[in-house]
Amino acid sequence: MWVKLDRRDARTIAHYTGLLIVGVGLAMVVPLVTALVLKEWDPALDYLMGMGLSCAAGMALALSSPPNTPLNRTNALIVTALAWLAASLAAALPLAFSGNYGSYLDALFDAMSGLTTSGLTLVQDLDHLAMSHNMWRHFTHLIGGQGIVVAAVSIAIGLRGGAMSLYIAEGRDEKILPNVVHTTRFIWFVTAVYVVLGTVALTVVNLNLGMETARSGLHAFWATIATYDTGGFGPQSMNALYYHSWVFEFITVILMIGGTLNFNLHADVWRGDRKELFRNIEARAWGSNVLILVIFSTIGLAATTAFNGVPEILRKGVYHIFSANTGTGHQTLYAAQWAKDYGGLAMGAVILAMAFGGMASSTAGGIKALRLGLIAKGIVWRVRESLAPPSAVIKQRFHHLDDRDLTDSLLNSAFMVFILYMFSYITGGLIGAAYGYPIGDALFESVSAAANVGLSTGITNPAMPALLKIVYIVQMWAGRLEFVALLALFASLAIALRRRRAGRRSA
Amino acid sequence: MEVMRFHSPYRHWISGLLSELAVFIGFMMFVGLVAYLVALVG
Amino acid sequence: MRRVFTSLLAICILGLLPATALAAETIVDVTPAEMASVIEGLDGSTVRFSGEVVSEALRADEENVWLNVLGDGVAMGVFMPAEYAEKVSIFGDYRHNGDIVQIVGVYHEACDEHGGDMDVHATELTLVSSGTPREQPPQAWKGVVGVLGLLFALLQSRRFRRMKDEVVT
Repeated sequence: MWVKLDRRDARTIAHYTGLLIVGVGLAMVVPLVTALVLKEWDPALDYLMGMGLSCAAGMALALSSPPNTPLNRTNALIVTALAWLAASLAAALPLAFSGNYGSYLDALFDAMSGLTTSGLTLVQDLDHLAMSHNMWRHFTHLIGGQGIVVAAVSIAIGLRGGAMSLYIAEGRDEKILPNVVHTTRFIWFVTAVYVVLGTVALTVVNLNLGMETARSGLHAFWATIATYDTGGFGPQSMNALYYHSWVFEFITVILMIGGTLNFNLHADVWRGDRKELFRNIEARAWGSNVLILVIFSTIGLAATTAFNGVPEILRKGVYHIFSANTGTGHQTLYAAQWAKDYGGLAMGAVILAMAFGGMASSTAGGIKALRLGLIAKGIVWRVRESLAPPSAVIKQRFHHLDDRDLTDSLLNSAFMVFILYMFSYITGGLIGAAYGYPIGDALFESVSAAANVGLSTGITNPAMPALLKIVYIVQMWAGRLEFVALLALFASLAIALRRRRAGRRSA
Repeated sequence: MEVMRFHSPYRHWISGLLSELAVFIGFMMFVGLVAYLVALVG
Repeated sequence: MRRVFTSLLAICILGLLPATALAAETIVDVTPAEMASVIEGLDGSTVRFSGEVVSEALRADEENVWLNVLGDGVAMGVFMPAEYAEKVSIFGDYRHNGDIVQIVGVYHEACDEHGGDMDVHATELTLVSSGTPREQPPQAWKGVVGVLGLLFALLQSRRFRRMKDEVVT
């Protein structure tokens, strides 16, 4: 039963999308202030222009419908899907005119990558990029990481009625706190705590490395956001390799884990229930996943000539498994090293780490540990059923915040998303291979995009074919939405077009 | 969700945060140890 | 007499040969981009490359620092005694094109001393040319577009608030 969409729905959708675009425009005040303080005048104008255009376009759209128009569930889903594209189109504006991007498409790529906390980048001459532009690039991780929708709810741009629907559409279907507004405030609180801690810790590291004070602070803030929000951007072209510091890597891995932890777990543990960290199916699934992949990675690296020593196995092996799995994407290797130095088994382990992903209700991407845990339990359930007498009713329990029964509906949903991700990974890989890239690299890059990771074998660079850029943009977008919302958007467009054609024929 | 979930998560947040950090670091070291042992054997 | 002279000449040549052999140790000319692309057989060789020094000198340990040399679009980390780095005064960033230097050193595909990082341990650093300021003149049209846009948005937001009041009444 397809839902009917009419002009009023289109206006409602335009209204809320417009408000979000205004929100993105207003957020540009952060890099604008950065530019003014650091006397980067041309970048300051880039942000003034970005703000002007975004607020103008956003307000124009918002006027399609009066404030507080009710938002039903279908429309909320469509707004959520559109939000990422709309926000990216706006966020790309200041970058496009910065002189560090080959085209608006390249800037759009980075904007989508930033907002979806992916981390793949098409920026050029990163080592000469203005600090304010770096501030915006990293800030998009923060905005997108806390969920564009969640961010908008907190800023309360008149979204009172629609807040709940948007929240569900966003994919956060756990009621962490009874009140949606309280939930989003809690998410910001956890974020604030981790960001402050991370920034302070890394500032100390950077000062110790001999960095000048302002740079130490900015780099620390950016690295904290990039790892806690599992984004993956870095302010220098060498990414995390720039620091040559195991302390930096250690601290950022802690931030990555903190960032991939399901917000429900943060809430439970911060309420005093520490045991939940150990009983929770997702924590267990995630932990086992990482451990098994680290073992594969170690075996793989031990067979290579480049990374077969213990320090390398820890700093190039274990580090990248965490970076890949949490969807962060910080890299201490040059792109070509994945294929040439890392070797088959270890590279395969990294691809699987990216594909499987971190925890749900976090900024991680991929299939996610909760689903893998449910699928594993599902297999156990089927085996138990097959061994039991036909008349017996076998229940399978699992623990996620509470003890629950595994249901067919939960399993089906987990399997469906699993298959959709696999489809995206493989299709993206095949498209890359069709352009002549080696299949291993193409698959790696495709998984990196669709799982919002950001590790790169070098395929992602300004010279890559434009269509492939578009493919990755769509993959990052689809992955962030876990496909269903995006498919709903396309379906609704198809319905709207078909009705228009039918309307013309009958008239 | 059950009624008992309505406790504020802000109340024990510091001890909660410290437990989390301890578990994260503990897990990282455990994973590192396993990698080290596998590397020795391999 | 001639035999003595020939023998002496022979000894001189033989004596110099090992020295010339040492001096002619192969130094490979590369770019940072080539090093990063992992050329087979380059690991452990002595390389020579030049590029712009960017960002800053980072402390590696008590006596050594890291410099990042950008050439052909790729920056390579170069490990060197702190004194070498003192020859560099301008580092590349938004406002500056950094000093151009030439590095001679040993290339490591996965340096054992540095946790597997790809690097070059420099034995020589020569300043080739000094850095220059980067010109980024502000483009006024951006400001105009921005201000116009904000004004438009402000006017529209007034209409918006009027719509809100209409709905309430």
